[in-house]
Amino acid sequence: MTLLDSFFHLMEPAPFLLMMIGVIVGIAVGVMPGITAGMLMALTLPFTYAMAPVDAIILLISMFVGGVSGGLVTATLMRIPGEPSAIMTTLDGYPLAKRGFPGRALGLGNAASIVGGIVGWIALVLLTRPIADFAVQLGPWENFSLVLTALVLVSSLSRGSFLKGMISALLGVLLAFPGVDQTSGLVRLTFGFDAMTNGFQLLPVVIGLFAMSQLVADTMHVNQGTDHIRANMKGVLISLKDYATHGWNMLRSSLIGLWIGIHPGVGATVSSIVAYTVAKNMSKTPEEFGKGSEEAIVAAESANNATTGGTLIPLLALGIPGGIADAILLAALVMHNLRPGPLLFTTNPEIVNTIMATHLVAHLAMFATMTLGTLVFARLMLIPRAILFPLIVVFCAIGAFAMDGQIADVWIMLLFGLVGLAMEIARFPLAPFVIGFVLAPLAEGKLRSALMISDGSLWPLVTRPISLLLLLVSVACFVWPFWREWRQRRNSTA
Amino acid sequence: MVRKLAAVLVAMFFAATPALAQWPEKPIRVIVPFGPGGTTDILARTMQKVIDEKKIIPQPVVIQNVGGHFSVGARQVMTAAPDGYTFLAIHLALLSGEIVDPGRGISYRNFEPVALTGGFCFHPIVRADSPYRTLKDLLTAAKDRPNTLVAGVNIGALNHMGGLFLEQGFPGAKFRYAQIGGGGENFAAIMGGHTQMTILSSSEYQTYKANGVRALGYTGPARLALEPDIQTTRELGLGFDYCAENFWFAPKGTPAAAIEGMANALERATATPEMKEFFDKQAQTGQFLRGAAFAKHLVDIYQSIEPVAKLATPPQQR
Repeated sequence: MTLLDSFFHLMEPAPFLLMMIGVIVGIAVGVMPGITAGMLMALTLPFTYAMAPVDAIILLISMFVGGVSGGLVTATLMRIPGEPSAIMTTLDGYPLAKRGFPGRALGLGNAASIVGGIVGWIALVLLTRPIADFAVQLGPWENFSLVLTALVLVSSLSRGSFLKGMISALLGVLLAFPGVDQTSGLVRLTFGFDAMTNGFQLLPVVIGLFAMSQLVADTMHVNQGTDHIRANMKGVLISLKDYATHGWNMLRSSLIGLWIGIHPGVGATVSSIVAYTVAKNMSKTPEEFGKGSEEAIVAAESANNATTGGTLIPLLALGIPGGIADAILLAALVMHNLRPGPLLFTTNPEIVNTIMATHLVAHLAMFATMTLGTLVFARLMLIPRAILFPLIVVFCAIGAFAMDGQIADVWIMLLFGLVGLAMEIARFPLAPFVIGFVLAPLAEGKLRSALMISDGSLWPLVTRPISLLLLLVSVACFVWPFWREWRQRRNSTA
Repeated sequence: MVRKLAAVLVAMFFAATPALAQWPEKPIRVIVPFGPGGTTDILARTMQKVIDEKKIIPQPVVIQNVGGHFSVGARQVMTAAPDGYTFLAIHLALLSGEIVDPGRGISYRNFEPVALTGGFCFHPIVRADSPYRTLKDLLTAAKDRPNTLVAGVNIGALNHMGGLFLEQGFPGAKFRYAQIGGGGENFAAIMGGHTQMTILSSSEYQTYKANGVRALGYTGPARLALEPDIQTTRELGLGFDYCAENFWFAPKGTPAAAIEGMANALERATATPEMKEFFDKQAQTGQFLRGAAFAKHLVDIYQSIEPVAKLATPPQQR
């Protein structure tokens, strides 16, 4: 089965229907805060046993693509990331919508999503094998330096006070430590609570921090009319001129998303943050960022969709999942007795080709659905808060509970709802917190692996060229905002 | 009055059910204390599929993954109501974990043993172009230059113990262990040249062998049908074998009817051609044990791994 055959297969009624179901349900779930595409895929997994492997893959990939894209709607209209990867879209999508351009904000995000998706797809098809060959040479030192670079990028990201941003990020790092020490398998900092053995899981933390805190804050003025914005179709289809204006940004952000996606464990959320930050640093109007900048929406949405292509590369080439959704895809493949890895290209080319074909066609279907269905999806926002919020709270609780079936995770979710609320009130930015939380275990694990391999020596961090290069980039990222501010100040006084 | 009467009737109905009960009368939950896609998860799900398709148990069997440290899922089963509807599917980690990290209060003795359904052994692995052609080459190098050959493992876990068994069998040999993780991560680390050797389970080796790695031996008691050319560690004179079997447990105090019922179902499923094909494909062995034989086997295994598992204890715990 060649790639072309796989495209034809997708055009047959049954696979096409499966793909559309996957995309639409994916978008719907993406729109709903607290329920992620990964969770949807996990819940769908049992239903795929009876399916042919190819059909199971079509359904799951379509959900993956739809889910990452649907987060845009909630981010823009409610300032809640429907998916964690839409965090950055909330910063500018919502202000732009509030200024009276909801259709425009959604249209830009949608256009960026499709461009990001196509760039990711091209890379998936062309680069999977060669890139996997290269990535395998990146050892723990390079990976640590890479994660460190990402952590430094967060510092220049925070809105408002740099100090508050750093505190927020470091708090996130701190709260990542309880639970199983991944290097030794021992449990630490649980203060004697068995429920803390797995530490704070990402899902309850993110749901609590972003969804619950927002719900509680909004409930304080539940009768003051709606904060969410009525969508209109005006500007939903952006013009070719817009594509030309934002073309370079779209391409650059897509490439960033792609590159980050290729690295296991650093997913769409980080990639949209990095793309946003780079776009801000390169922008002629960085002061617009956070107030409804079109460039910001484009950067974040191109990057997170490009990442979906990027994370599939290590999954297909090495059998190493890049993120939660990929881990579920891996499980689906294994359940059908398929083993991802270079061997898959020779033993089951139909699976590789189906994944690649579905990734592209599902993106096109997503674009059409999102463009035509904007008003339908936005209608979710017109449901009165008194009805919508309790429903979302239920979804939040189910979401926190569903992953491991631990009631403690629901309490943790509620606790982080309070933490998020307190941070919002004190004007601490939330995004650096989550990034610190996500990246700390990666940085710690890679560094400790590296030190065990080198028998305690730190030198390889600077003697290995790729690691050195990454460290220099992180230093540059750290210094750059200061230097620019200093130069601006000098220019303004001169 | 009518309401009161109805309440009494309802209460009587529910009180009466246990007496009439014939296991199973509601869905059965199997907790896999690992994420989806792992060796135990695939085994449990294949088993569930066979039990379902052959209608071996008239009620649905539901597999639930509990990710993170295995003790989290194991504890859920340990503290679950012993009503005969909750089971645990796990492997050697339940036994070794007790030795490596005794503070957790989790022991195989806190469960009712149900059955053992097949298992897997291990291969010491090097990159295909490694200068070490035989296991003896590798261990001699690890003896001549102790603590220099980097072995990628998951500290305290099954692959780490595999490396320690090799050292025990070849006195003087000493690897430098580095925390890398499971099969996929270790394969990548070996291919990237970050580690020089690792231990893969027999099914993991089947996944990766065509992609540039080579097995130097097999830790099973007899050669693997799929790999007739790979010598066992006993043949190589190391004097040990080391395997991890698939164990099924129930909470302490589970009624004997439920334990027997589940063991019957697992025994019938293990004997089906579907399961045999699964074990062959996964390079697993398909033996079955239950009752007193299984209970004795657990004690034997515990004793055989105890000294090595102690060595796998991370330094901060000793």
